[in-house]
Amino acid sequence: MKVNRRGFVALLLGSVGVVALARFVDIDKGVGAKDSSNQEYTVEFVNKWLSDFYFQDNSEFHVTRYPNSDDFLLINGVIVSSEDVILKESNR
Amino acid sequence: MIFDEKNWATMGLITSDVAIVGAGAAGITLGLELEAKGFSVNIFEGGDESFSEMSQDLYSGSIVDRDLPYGLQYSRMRFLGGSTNCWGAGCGVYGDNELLDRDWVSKSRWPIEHSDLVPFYRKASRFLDLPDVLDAEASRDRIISGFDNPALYYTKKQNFKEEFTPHFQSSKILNVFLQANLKQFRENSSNGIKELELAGFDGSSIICKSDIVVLCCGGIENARLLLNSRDSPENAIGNANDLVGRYFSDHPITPLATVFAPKESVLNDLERITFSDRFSKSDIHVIPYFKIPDAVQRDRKMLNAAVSVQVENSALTDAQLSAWSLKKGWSEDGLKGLELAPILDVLKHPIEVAQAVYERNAGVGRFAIRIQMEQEPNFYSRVQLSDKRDRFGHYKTLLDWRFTELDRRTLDETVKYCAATFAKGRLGVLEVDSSIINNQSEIPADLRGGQHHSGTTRMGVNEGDGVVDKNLKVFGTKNLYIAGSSVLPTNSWVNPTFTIIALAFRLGDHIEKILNERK
Repeated sequence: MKVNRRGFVALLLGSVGVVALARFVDIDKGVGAKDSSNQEYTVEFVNKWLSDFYFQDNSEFHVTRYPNSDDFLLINGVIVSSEDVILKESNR
Repeated sequence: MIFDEKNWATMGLITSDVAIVGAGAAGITLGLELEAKGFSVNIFEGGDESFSEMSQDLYSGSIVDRDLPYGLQYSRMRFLGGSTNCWGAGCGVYGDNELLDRDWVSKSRWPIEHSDLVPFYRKASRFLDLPDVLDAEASRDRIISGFDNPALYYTKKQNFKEEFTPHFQSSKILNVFLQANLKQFRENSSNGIKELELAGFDGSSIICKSDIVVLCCGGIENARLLLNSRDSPENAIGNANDLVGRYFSDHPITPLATVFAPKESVLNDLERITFSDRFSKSDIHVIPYFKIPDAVQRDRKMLNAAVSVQVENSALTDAQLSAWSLKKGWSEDGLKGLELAPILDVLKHPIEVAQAVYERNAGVGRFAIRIQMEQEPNFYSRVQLSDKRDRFGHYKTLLDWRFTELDRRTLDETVKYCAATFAKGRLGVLEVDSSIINNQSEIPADLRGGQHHSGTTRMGVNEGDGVVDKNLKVFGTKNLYIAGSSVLPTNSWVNPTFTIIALAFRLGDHIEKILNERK
């Protein structure tokens, strides 16, 4: 099979992207998340209803602590009790 | 009878058993009650029978360090009927535990108990042609698990000027004096109010001599008039302990979040639940609130708070509501439950009805939730006097409305409790408003007050705790009483007017007792 230079670059970039995405998503059965300092996490919903109803279409989340609170998170702007979700730091 | 300055200017000295200053919800209720008990009453209203800028200007003032979403000048109405000319007419009650001491809320104890209010809440229900609100509250089903479910009941006897003017015109022992602005309390040597001097806008004046004087001018004006009562605020009547004007509070009201609810969530039925009573036999409009239960407040050491849920889609049209009423009538009474008017309404607007049915069956509902909450009694939140004077020589209002850390924490705890409870019950998820998240140091910028000014002449257990005693008599005076929202020691989450009316009836009973003892 002949591959021209443009095709090769596209294939290379595509492969890198697929590997990166797979690495990001396929961690501990959860879904990837980043906090505001770009630390990556896996997100696992203990309350499955949350993921089934609302977060099912998301592959990546932005997670912050609810201000002045240790027990609630904001996931893509939605407030979620930390009892309903498990966040684990992921080491790439 | 009703008099205005043109015909009262020549009267000189007038007398009555009771003089009431202010013809709003409190003043009119009390006046009618005392009249019914056989006492002569003069009610003095500073404004005319309808709105005028000249009268309204007497409410103008300034506000410390904060742009409030409403000004002082137009937040209450200054003419016959007072703010019953503009209120929403929602009536609700304080809960059983809301008058008790809460050790996490400073100054939360009332000198009376909830049971002291009960007979007067019942009387207020009858007065406003409502079903008994206490009974209605007791029989309400819990709509959402995890929340108390109080409601506001909307009276149609809303505008006291329209309701009672014909009665005032024909009454023999109750007189209403319009354009009669309180200029001065004339005191005797034994801490009693000997006479009141009232002034008209045209320069005329009148003197009233009564056994009992009651101030009923609202949560800001009651304090302002007292602070202006003598040569300085420090020496003002009732202000021996520097409490007049202190503890000003309002109901912070602000949007909290957008709720996304699955199709099966009970939230999707709320609009129908809300409106269903409009079509019930009692014909009373009811709006449910979702209140944080007392036990949760105690656990989280937060204030009273309730949220209302509003559909973010366009509100139902009349035809859609008619369709709902037909459905309800059919399910309750079959053919007998169907009325002609809503049938015609549905037939005229079939597309609107079809659209509602489609939306009902389509996917995720979207709602806004809004908080209405109590404020912590705060010594530093206060009505003071500015250096500007009004046309009658009184200093104008300088309002310093403040928020405490507990106020702010209550707002955040409410968001968190709603999120956890909605998720647990699979009712919906909350996307929090950015104004809540981005401004953590204070109450959000788009907050508005309910214009439910209260606390500035609070009821106290003793002179060091409040301005009036449990019978609403100003401490240190013989015959001066106060009615209205300024006497509320805590302001709950609920709109105050129904409680103001209940307390006015209670004061009516007390004054009857006092006057009968003197005879």
